[in-house]
Amino acid sequence: MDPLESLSLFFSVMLIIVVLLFMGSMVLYSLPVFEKFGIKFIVGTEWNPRKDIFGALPFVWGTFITSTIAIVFAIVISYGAAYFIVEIAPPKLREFLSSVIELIVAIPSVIIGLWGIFYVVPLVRDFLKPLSSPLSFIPFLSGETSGYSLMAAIIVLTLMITPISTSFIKNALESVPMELKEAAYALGATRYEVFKIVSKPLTRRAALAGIILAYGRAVGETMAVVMVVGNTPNISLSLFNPGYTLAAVIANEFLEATSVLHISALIALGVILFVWSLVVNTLAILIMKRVRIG
Amino acid sequence: MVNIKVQVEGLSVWYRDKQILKDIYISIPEKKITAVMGPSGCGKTTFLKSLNRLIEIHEGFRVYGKVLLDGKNIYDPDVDPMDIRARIGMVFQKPNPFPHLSIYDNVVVGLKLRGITDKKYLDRIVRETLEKVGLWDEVKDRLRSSAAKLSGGQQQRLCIARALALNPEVLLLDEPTSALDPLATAKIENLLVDLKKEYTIIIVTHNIQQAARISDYAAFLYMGQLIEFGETKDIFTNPKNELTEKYVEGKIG
Amino acid sequence: MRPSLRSLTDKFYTAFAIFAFLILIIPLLHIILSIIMNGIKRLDLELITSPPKSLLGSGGGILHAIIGTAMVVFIAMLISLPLGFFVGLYLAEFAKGKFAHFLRTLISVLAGIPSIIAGVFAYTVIVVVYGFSALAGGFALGIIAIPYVARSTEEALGSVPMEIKEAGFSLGIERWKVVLFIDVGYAKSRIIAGFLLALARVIGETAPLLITILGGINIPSNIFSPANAIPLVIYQYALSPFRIWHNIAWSAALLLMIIVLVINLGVRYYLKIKAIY
Repeated sequence: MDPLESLSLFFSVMLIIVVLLFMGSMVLYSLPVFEKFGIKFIVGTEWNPRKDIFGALPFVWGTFITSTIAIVFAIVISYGAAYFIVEIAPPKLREFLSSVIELIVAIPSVIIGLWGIFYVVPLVRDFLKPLSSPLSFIPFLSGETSGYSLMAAIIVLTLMITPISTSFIKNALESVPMELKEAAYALGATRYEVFKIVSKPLTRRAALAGIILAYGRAVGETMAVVMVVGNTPNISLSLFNPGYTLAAVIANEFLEATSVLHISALIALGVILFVWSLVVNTLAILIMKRVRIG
Repeated sequence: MVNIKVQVEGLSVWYRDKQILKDIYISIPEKKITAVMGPSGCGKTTFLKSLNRLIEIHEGFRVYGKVLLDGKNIYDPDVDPMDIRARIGMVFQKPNPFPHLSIYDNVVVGLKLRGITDKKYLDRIVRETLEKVGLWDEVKDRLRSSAAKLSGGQQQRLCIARALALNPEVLLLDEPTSALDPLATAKIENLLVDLKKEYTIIIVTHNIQQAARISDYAAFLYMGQLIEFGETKDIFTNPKNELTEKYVEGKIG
Repeated sequence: MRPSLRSLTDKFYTAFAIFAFLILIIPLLHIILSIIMNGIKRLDLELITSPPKSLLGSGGGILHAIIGTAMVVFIAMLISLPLGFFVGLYLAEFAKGKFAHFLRTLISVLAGIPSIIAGVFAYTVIVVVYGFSALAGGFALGIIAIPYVARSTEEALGSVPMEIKEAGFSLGIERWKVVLFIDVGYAKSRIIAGFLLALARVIGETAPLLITILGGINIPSNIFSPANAIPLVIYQYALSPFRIWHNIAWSAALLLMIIVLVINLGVRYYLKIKAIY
C-alpha cells in the first residue's frame, strides 16, 4: 500500500471510530432514563424535570405533527411551483428562479426564526386566529393563542423545506426527455395532460426521494422551531396551542438541566431523534438508488 | 541490417472472459515507424497499451506472453512498470495536456515528479523538446500560460513533447491525429518522420493512407490476431493475405 | 367556441401552479426584504468593531461574536478539511467493495444527523473535559462539515477524465503521485469549492453552539474559553425583550446573510473561471 493510500485509510478509520464513539456515547448517556422508565419513556406523556418525571411523547407528537403537516403543504406547493418553473415560466427565467430557490436553502435557520418571531407569530395571533374563529369548533383550530404555537412552527418549517422538495421535483421534471413530451403534445394533449401522463409518472421516484429528504430536514430542524413554537411540553390537538419538538427541547433545556436524569432524558430524546432521521434518510437513499437503476 | 527494438512473443490479452488479443508475434524494428492498422475493435489500442504496461491500470485485464524491450521481458516480476513507462512514452488519441498546468509545466511534469528539479536542466529540456515538435516559436513567449489555451494540433504536439522530455527510446501513438484537422495532421505526420531518426515509433492508425504515407513497416490486426506484418510497401502493393488485401483496398474496416 | 373540460382543467392547473409559486416566493421575498429593511439600521462600523455595550446607548456591537465565529469556524475547518478530504480521496481512488459501501453509508449517517445532536456529542466529548469553549463548538461544526467535504472531494476526483489519468500514468510515476499531483491537481478548483461551501454551511449553524460555547459577552482569549458566535447572538438578542438588541439581531442577520451570499456566489464565479475544462 502506497503512502497516500495508507494515509487516507488512516483518516477513514479515524472517521469510523468517531462515528462509533458518537453513537456509543449517546446510547450510554441515555441509559439511566431508560433504566428508570423503561420503554414507557417513549410513550410517557408527562415531562416534569422538577419532579424528575420524563416522558417523550409530547416531543414525539410535536415533531410528528409539525413535520407531517409541513411536508403535506410542501408537497402541494412544490409540485405547483416546480410545474410553474419548468413548464410555464419563460426559459430565460428558469435558471434564475432555480438559483433563487437553491440560495434560499442556504439561509441559516436562526434567521428564519428571527423573522418568525417578529412576523409569523403576530400573523398567527392577530390574523390567522381571528380568521379561523368561525371554525374553532374543529379541534385543530380551537383555543386561544399567543402566536407562539405549533401553527407558527408549521408555517416556518413549510417555508424551509419546500425549496428542497421543489428543487428535486424541478430537476426531475427537467430530465424528462423532450421527445416523450413532444409525442404527447403531438397527440393533442394539453400542457397539464402532458405533465399528468408523461412527466409525473416518470419522475415519481425522484420526486419521492426529494420529499423524503425534505421531511428529514423538517424532523431535525431546531432553531426556527424553538424560536416560535412556544416550548411547552403538552400534547394538544389544537395547532394554535404552543408545543415542543425533540430538537427544540434539547436545544432549550440542555444547559439548564436540573439533574443527571434530566440530561439523560434529553440525550435519550436525541437518540429518538437520531434514529428517526436515520430511518428517513436511509429511505431516501434507497429510493434514490432505485432511481439510478430504473 | 535492422535491429529489433521490441519483440512481442505470444501476446494474448483477456478482458474478463473475452479474449482481445490472440497469440501475437511481432518484431518491431528500431528507429523506424511501424504502423498498426485494423478495423475498429480489432484490439489495436489494447495492443499498444500492452507495450508499456498501461493496460494494467484498468481492472479486468489479463496479459499473457512476453514483450521484450532490448531482449528483456517488460512483464518480468523484477521489472518496475514505472521505468518501462519512462522508456516507452505514449501519446493518446484525444490530446490530453494537463489543463491545470502551464505549457512549461506540462513538458517537465514527468521529470519533476521523478525528482529532477534543476531549473537550468528543465529550461533546456523545455526548449529542446518544444523545438523538436515545432512548437517553440509558437509558444516561447507564453510558456507560463495554461496549456488548455492551445489549439488541438498544438496540444497534441505538446503531448508529444511531454513524452519526449523523459527521453524515451520508444514512442507509442494511439491514433494521434484522428481528432485533428488536416493541416494539424500533416504537421504531426512530418514531425513523426523527423523523430524516427532518434526514436522507435509505433503508431496505431485507422487511416490507411496515413499508414501508407509515413510508416516503414505495417502490421494488420483483425479480431485480435496479427494477420500480416512486413515492410509497408510490400503490405500495400503485394499483400500476402486476402484479408489484408481487402483492408488496404478499403473493402473492410 | 365552448371551452372544453380539458382546456379548463389545463387553465386551472396553470393558475394553481402560479399560485403555488407565489406562495413559495412571496414569503421568501418578505424574509429577504425584512432582513434588509430592519437590518440596515444597525449595519454600521460599530456593529463589527465594538463589543457589546450598555443598553442605555446603542448597545454596542458584536465584535465578540464575530471573533467567536472566526474561531469556531476555523477549528471546524481544521477538523473537517483533512478528515473529509482524505476520506473523499480514499473513496474516489482506493476503496473497493464492501468497505467502500460501509464508508459511504457512514458518511450518509453523518450527513443526516440533526445539528443539535452533533452539539450533544461535542458536549459529551469536549465540554465534559474542557468546559464550554470555542473548541467544543468547533468540534461540533467540524462533525457537521465532514460529510460535505468528503462528498464534494469524492465527486471532484471522480470527475477527472480517464485520459488525464492515463496521461499521468504514462509518465512513469508512482500511483500515489498520479493521484496526488495529477488527479488532485486537475480537480483542485472543485475541491476548494467544496471546502468553501462546507464553510458557508456551518457558519450559520446555531443549535450545536447553543450547548457548547455558552455565548457570553466576552471576547474569547483562547480556544478553551467560552465564546459567542454571530448566529448565536442573533438568537440571544432576538429572544430578549430589548428593542436595542432586536435591532442588533436584525443587523447581525443581514451581516450573516451577506457573508453566506458572498461565499456562495463567490464559489459559483470561481468555478466558472477556474474549472472551465
